[in-house]
Amino acid sequence: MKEIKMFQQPTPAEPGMLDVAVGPHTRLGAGIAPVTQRWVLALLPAIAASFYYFGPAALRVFGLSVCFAVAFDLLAEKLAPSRDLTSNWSSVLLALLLAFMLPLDAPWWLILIGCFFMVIVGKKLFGGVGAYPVQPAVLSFAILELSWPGRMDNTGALLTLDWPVTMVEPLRLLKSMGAGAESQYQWLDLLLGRQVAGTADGMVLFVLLGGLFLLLIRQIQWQLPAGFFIGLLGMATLMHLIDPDTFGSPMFYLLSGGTLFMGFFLITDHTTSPVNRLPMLLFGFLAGVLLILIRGYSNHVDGIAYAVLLANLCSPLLDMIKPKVKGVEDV
Amino acid sequence: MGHATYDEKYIMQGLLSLFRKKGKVSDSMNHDPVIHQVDDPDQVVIPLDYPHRVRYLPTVKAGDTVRKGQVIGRSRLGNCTLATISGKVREITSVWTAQSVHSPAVVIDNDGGSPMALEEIFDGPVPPDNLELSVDRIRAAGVNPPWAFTGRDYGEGEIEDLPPIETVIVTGVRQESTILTSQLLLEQQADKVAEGLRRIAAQLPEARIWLTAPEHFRSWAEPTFSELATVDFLPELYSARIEREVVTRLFGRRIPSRDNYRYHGIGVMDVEYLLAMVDALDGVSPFLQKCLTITGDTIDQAVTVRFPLGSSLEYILSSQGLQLSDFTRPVVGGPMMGFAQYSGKTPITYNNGIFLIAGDVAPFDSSAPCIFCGRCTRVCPVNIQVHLVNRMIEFGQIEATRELNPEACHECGLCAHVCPAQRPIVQLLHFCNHEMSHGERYTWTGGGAS
Repeated sequence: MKEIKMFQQPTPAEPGMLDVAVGPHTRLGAGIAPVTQRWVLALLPAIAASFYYFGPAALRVFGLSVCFAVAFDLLAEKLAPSRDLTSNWSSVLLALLLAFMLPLDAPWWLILIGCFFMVIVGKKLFGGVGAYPVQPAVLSFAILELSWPGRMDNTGALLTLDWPVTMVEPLRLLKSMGAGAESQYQWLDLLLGRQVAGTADGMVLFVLLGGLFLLLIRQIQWQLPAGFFIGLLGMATLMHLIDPDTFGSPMFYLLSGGTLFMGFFLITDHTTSPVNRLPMLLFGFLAGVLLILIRGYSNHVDGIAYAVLLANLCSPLLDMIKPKVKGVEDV
Repeated sequence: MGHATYDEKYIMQGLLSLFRKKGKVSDSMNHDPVIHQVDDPDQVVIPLDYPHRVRYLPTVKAGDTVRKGQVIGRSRLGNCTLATISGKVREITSVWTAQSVHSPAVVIDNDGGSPMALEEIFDGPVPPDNLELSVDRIRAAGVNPPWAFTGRDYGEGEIEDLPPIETVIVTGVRQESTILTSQLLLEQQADKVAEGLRRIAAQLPEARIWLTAPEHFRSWAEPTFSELATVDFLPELYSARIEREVVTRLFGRRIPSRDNYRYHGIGVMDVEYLLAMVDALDGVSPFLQKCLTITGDTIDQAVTVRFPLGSSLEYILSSQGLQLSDFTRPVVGGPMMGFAQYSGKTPITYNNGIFLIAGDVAPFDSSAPCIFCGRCTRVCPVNIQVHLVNRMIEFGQIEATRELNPEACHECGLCAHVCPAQRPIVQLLHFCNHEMSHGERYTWTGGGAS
């Protein structure tokens, strides 16, 4: 039986005693909690924008989601102790990511079920933070979308809102009307988040701000979003050139729905994205291409969830492209 | 280094690293360029055993009176270690050295006696082109450059011959950014360094000679040394200064990470020993004192001292007005590859720096799960897939790591330095390599469950 030392944090040395730690003696790391807290910080602009547009209704979705997720996480920690502690904030981050994609009127039980699948099935059953094969929030969202398609209706959720824009999801209108739907929307509206989407994933500009923050503090690697946007815009341009009547312009795909949210927050998840530089670029590229293919040729309207899940599954394969270890063959 | 908290440091590092290359630790410290002389202590402890380098046998016994400069230990090849103060041999005991090795040692109590006169130690300068006499002299003076080890003189068996030296690398800059001894000496005694390079060329006419120097010395170091050695300038980055990587680049071939350079015909030598060698050959002084840089998170100005070999850690710090009780962790060596000391009594000998840590700075966190962010893998100078290897080891999959070549690791510590979860990555890799080379089954007890 292996000895499991859990919940042991480094304790300060007694006064007068010397601390015999092992090197390196300077560390940039500060624990997993600060990492996830920075991600939460990066989500705040979009959360604020959502609150500004939708009022307390947005906070209800975020609040319920975080409460349920943390409760499930705590429960799992009590029942099956592991090194994935609730105090590492990962369930808070996942809950917020899930809430971003949920419709504004998501009932409490839907959020509860979503959090159950996310925390218990998506995260804990696979071994906790760092061990899941696909992004748990996206997994849970996909399960909800397939199980309760009627309740996951963004257009219905925002019916009562009085906005001077077309109150249909841009991608849904694109799917039913063809490329002509683009004329129904203003670029500025799409950019500022005045579009029918989930609770906060359509807040394009504010998601972009958060994403740039993550890039700036080097929480995410530039290769992932870069590959993603190259893949997305390239594939969208190709399809637009082939059939300009059916498929929208690349910019329309970029600004509508949760595209930027996916590029900066979903595919960049540490655990489910590749580690080496070239694979990261390819992974992003693959996710972008998949997203456009799903949007263009499937029955799903947005499809960020399926693109992320499929790309996540390819991540270990892509990571097989790795640099050669130095000093193995020539000694 | 200021007083920033770890969090502030982390964010600042993240922001700054946008404009820098990877693996930045810290450099261009605020430092005192003067090398301060430390007085003779009341007691010195001189270890006799340096694993995989040399083992001295004591030539004195407890109760003997020795004088400063007298030989107290000699290896079978004739390499000597000298008494660094005059006094009485209290005992020959065993100590725990700063490199975390148990070693026999000679303890000498200072009695204020007179040092040995130069005429008693040396008979004048050695003719520069006489290799045999030169080697004898530098052995007797306790300098011991790589070519004074002509055989594998460690352990009990036969002395195995080592290959002749074809490449000499004189390091004018240390890999750890907190150690300034070499660059200060290189700057302040450039003429003597040039003389030393000439001596090497005379002793080893066949060898290629390299000198490494900090990038900001280029303007004057290039004209001064370019005729004597090929000068290689290193930037202010730990990842670009890791000694094994520099040696690989200059030598053109990689030495297995556990092998001594000397076994491959390479002599790596610090500027300080070069200067000591010049002194020994000129008959000016034997090698009794060594330089060392003291710095730390809460020390505003790094200070470099010259101290008698075998002084205790406590004594060296107190000579500079520093109290060990103000710090929680004294690290001998630099912050990346240095060893934390458990006691202030540890004798300091061939060490280049002391890095002092105050307050409760987190060591590794053995319970932190890996989040697979991959920083370790991207920063690794030898391209090991660290994120995979360290997890495999944690779960006992030692055999599975073989195809990922963890043996290429030379434990520079960059992976653990950047790890956001503060995982013991270097220790995991060390454990894996130890187990692979010794075939013993241990269980890593830091984790086990995820």
